[in-house]
Amino acid sequence: MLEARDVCFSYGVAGRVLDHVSLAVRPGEVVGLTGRSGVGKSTLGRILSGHYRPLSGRVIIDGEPHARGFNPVQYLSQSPAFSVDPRWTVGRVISEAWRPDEAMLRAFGVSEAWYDRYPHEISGGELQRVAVLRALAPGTRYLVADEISAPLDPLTQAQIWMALLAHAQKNGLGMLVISHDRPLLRRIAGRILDL
Amino acid sequence: MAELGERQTLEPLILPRMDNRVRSFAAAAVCLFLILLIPVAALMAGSAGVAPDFTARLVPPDWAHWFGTDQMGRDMFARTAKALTTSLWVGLFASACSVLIAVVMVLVSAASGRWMDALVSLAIDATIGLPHLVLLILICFALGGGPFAVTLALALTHWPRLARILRAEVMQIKQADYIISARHFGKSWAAIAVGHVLPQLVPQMLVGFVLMVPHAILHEASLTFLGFGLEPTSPAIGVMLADSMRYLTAGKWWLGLFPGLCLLLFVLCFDAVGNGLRLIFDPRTAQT
Amino acid sequence: MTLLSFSGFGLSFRRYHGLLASCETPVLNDIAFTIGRGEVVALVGASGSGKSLIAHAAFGILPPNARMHGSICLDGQPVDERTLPALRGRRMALVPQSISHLEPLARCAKQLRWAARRAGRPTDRETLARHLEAFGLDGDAAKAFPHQLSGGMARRMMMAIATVGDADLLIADEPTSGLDDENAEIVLSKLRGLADQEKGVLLITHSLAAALPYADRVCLIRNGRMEGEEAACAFDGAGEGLRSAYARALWQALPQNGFQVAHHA
Repeated sequence: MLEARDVCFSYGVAGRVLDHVSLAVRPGEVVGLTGRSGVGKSTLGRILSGHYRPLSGRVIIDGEPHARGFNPVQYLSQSPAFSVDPRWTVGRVISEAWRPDEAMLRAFGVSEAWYDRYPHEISGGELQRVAVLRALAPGTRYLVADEISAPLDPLTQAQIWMALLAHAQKNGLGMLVISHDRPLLRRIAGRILDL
Repeated sequence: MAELGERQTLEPLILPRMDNRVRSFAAAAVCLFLILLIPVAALMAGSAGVAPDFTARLVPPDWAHWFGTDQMGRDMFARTAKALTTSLWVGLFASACSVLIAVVMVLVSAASGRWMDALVSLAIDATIGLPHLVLLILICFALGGGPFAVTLALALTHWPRLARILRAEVMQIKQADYIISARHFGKSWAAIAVGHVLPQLVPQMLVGFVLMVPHAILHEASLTFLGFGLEPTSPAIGVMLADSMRYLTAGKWWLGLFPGLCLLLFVLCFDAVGNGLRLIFDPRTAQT
Repeated sequence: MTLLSFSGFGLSFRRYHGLLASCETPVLNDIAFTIGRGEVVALVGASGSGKSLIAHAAFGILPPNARMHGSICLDGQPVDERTLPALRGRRMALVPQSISHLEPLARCAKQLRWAARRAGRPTDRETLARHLEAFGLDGDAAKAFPHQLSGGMARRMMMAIATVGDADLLIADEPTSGLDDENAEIVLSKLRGLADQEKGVLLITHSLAAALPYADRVCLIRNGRMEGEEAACAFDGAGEGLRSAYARALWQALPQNGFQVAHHA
């Protein structure tokens, strides 16, 4: 189980962004997280993924805190363009995390023809598939998806989520889906939390 | 209804816009030409420019002596070529050493903790805080002058500005999402420094190097002009300019003018190449 | 009555390959649509489909390596760099995508006054305060620097600045990105209100679902091409009224509808 226990956070001197927040995601469960803009959804997502350390409170992954090495809680952002090195080819980008097999590539609509290209040479939707696929390495047990389909067209959005949900179900992956889009959350999440 | 296409194709005829790349390549070509030509001219001159010829003292520029002769009858063209050759080697070598110092310091400070970074920052600020020339004079004086002392002094004084730029760059790169991703894929700092950070620094290093060369050359000339650099007998722009001062009031204008102009041309070319490279490597201006 | 028209419009960027060789990379092709008075036309496409470039082309603020072909006309008159200075801010105005398009070191009231002065409109305190009030902005918001405004207020401030010149045509580039539903609704109904006052509005957005309740017509952009124009009211039921298969596939892929991945060529 991925748990946030009594997490507080603030940026510098500004007021509290998160005030004693707790939530839990079980393996294989899809939890939606929504709320007004600026309420700290992304911050909570990054804290759960170990990008930020909470001011107080703890994050527990299957009974253990965050440790060095491969992080079992992977974070996916809205803009994949920033989460891949612009100087690396797509093939090198993916293999930084793992080497997916043919079936995985097909499931996520990633073509091996992109492997020699640079991130700016494929479209935003294609790059988001690459980023999603990269994060699904064997060591990943939980996924925090922060508005990953917001800038995509509805078709690409549906394709990515179908593939992701099937993979999560098969591998018992727990997911926290952060989004403004309530219809989307109602479609994919087992329960929806309002922050 | 005016077709936009028409207007667009006419534009180059009305105002030929000089492309940054074309300009940079022109400057690079001139630079390369000078780098090749000056040492060759210096070699071909043989003993001219060094051996005195008291039958032809202070001759104004003519076809035999393009830049005239000096008070000892030495050909100023050959002397300028030799001086610039020295400047070139000193400038290139000192700049290369400086870039190396800057990169090593920045990467070490990035890979180690906060203390090391504070130490490197302090070194940068302290070196920038002292006037360049004072530090140069001190180092040169301590080492007793000569080409080696000048090169070492230049190498030891020119790294901080580049180091500061590189350090800011590294700080920014370290915040990038893809570095954070790499960390969470379990990559070590060393792997990240080599795989993600260093390739990003190469353009800055190259630009820093090219822009540092003219700086170093000017400082070498200043040091020598002030008498702390190369030997007063050796052909050096600084020595020639210092000597020319005594004859300027006597109307011997060519003694200072030609070496000065050559130095200026040389420095401007390097500067143009460096600035062009900077624009090409910057993604915001790469396509202009 | 047609206000703005794009016909046969295309755009390419000259890019360098290697050091000196350059080539033209097309980014937009065969863009043709019109906006009439009293209409909200939505330009819908995924991010990176090139839709913002259409707005930038209309205002002549493309990067220098861009090449255009085709024509853009306002009221039948060509829009180009000779006519643009008289059009920008007076006849057509842009609501930019992000707060970074505002001057960070000037208070909002001052920037509003600049815009009014450039458009030759009254710049006295009362008129401007009344104008801000129409967007639900008070004196505190006027005194603030751009970065001090919240996302929703900043968006309304940019709309206030864009509309102070009383331009006939308003182009809003992603006016709802980063806003929650409540603020997005405020912004979009403002745009609808402007169209109802006989202005023309071009709404550029990636969200088909958000645009539909406020738009009259929808132009779909995919990979730099127009994939058809549809009446907003045709997006209904199973999409039987939609003309193109692509529009139907998009409509059925929305989570509030089927969330189906139809295989579309």
